[in-house]
Amino acid sequence: MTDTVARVGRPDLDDLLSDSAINTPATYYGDVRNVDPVYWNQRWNGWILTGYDQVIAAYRDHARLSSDRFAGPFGEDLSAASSKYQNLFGFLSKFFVWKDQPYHTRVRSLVNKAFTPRSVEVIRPQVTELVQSLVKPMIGAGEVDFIARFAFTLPVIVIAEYLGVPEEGRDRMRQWAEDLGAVIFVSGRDEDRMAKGEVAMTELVDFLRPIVRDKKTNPKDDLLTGMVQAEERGDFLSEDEVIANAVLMVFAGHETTMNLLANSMVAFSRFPDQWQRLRDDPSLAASATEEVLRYDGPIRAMARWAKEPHEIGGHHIAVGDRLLLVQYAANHDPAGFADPGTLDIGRSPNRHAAFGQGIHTCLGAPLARLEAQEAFKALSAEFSRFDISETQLEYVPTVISRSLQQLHITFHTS
Amino acid sequence: MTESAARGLSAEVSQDRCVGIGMCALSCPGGFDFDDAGQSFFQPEGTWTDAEVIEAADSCPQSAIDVWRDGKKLT
Repeated sequence: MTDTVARVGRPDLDDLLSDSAINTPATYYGDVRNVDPVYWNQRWNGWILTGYDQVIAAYRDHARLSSDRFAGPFGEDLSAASSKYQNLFGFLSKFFVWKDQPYHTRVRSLVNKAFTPRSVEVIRPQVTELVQSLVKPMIGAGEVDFIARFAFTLPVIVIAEYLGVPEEGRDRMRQWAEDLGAVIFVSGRDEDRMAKGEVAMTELVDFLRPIVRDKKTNPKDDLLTGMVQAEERGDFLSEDEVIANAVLMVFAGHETTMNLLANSMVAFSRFPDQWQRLRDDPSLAASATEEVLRYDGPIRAMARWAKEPHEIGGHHIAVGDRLLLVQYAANHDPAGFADPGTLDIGRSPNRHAAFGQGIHTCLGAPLARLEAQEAFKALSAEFSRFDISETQLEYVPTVISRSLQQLHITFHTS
Repeated sequence: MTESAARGLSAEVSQDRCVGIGMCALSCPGGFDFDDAGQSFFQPEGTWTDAEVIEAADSCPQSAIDVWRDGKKLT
C-alpha cells in the first residue's frame, strides 16, 4: 500500500516494459539517467547503464563483462526452460554472439571477411536494383503496409541471397523470425513464447539443414558455403554450429534491418526538413543512415553479466551482477551528442552505439548500412513527402528491440 | 624500424570510426594495439609486414584504417 502511494505521480523507473519505456524510450531512459547513469533496477535485479561513457566502456569491457547467455545469472534463468525446449536452446546456445573469447573471436574471424564494407560493396548494384523494384510499385499506390511491402522484404531477400538460402523459405521466414524474436528479445508470456520458439527453431533448422549439406557437394560463392568450407582453411565448424549461426544471420540479418528501415521513416516524418535535405543531396545517405541509427536505432539494449568485481560510475559491480547496456540511452545522452533529440543527417562526428561497440559490434553492420543507404536514396529521390497513417505508433513490448507493431505510409511524388 | 616502414608504408586508425572490434589486431598483431579505452592504434615501430597491414585495413568492419605508401593512399 505504501508502495502504491509512494509511486503516485512519478513514473515507475523500474518497469522496463512500462508504456513510457516501450513507446518513448529516449524520455524514459533519460529519466533513469538523470537519477543515475548506472542505476540499480530492483525489479530487473540488475544495473541499467544509460550514460554515454559508461555504455561505451561496458561494451568494450569483454574481459570483465560476459555475453554468455548460458552461464552466470542468465544461464540460471534458462536452465529449466532449456531442458524442456531442446531444439530452441540447443541452437540458441550455439549462437556465437552469445559466447565469450576465445570461441567468439574464432567464429567471428571466420565470417568477418564476408561482412566487411569491401565485401558487401560488391552487392550494392543488386541492392539498388532490388530497392527500385520495391519502390516503383509504391508510386501512386495510396496507403501501403510499409513493413510488409518494403522494410521486411528488402533485408530478407538480401540476407537470403547473401547466405545462399533459396527463395522458397522467405515467406515463412517472417513468422519464424517473429517467434524467435519473442524469445531472443524477451516479449510475450513466457510459456507461450518458448513453445512457439521451439516450433520456429525446429522448422528453421529442418529448412536449413539440407541446404547446408548441399553446399558441401555443390559449393557456391555464398556465406553458407564459406562456413561449410571453414574446415578446409584449417578451422572447423560442426554442421549444427553452421546451422545455428545461419539461423542467427537469417534472423539478425533482417529483423533488425527491418526495424531500422521502419523507425527511420518515423524519424524522417518528424523532421521533414531532413527528408528534403536528403532529396537535395543524396550524398548525405551514408551520414543520414548513421543519424537514424543513433536517433531511433533498432536495438535498445543488450545484456551482460560481471565475471569479475569492478567499479562503474562509483558503483561496485559484484561477480554475477546483471547489466543492461542501453545504447538507445547512450545515443540520446547530451554527454555524447549535442542536441540529441534533433535528427541532423549531417551530424559529424557521430560516434553512436547503435551497433554496440567492442568485439561484439554487430557483424552485419556494413550490410545493414548499405541496405539503408540505398533505401533512403531511392525513397527520397522518388517521394517528396509521405504521411504515416497510424495516429498512435505502437511498439512491441520488449527490452531489447525497438520494433513497430505496424507502419502504414502514403507516399507522395509531388 | 621494419623494412616495410623504411619503404614508406604507413597506417592510421580513425578515432571517429574505430569502435574497438579488434579484427586488425588479429590480422596484424605486431602493428595494431589497443589503448585503455579499447581504441585501436597503429604501431609504426612494431613488427609487421605490408601484407598484414593491408589485410588489417581490409578486414576492418568500420573501414577505420587508412593505409598509405609513399604518401599515396592505398585503402
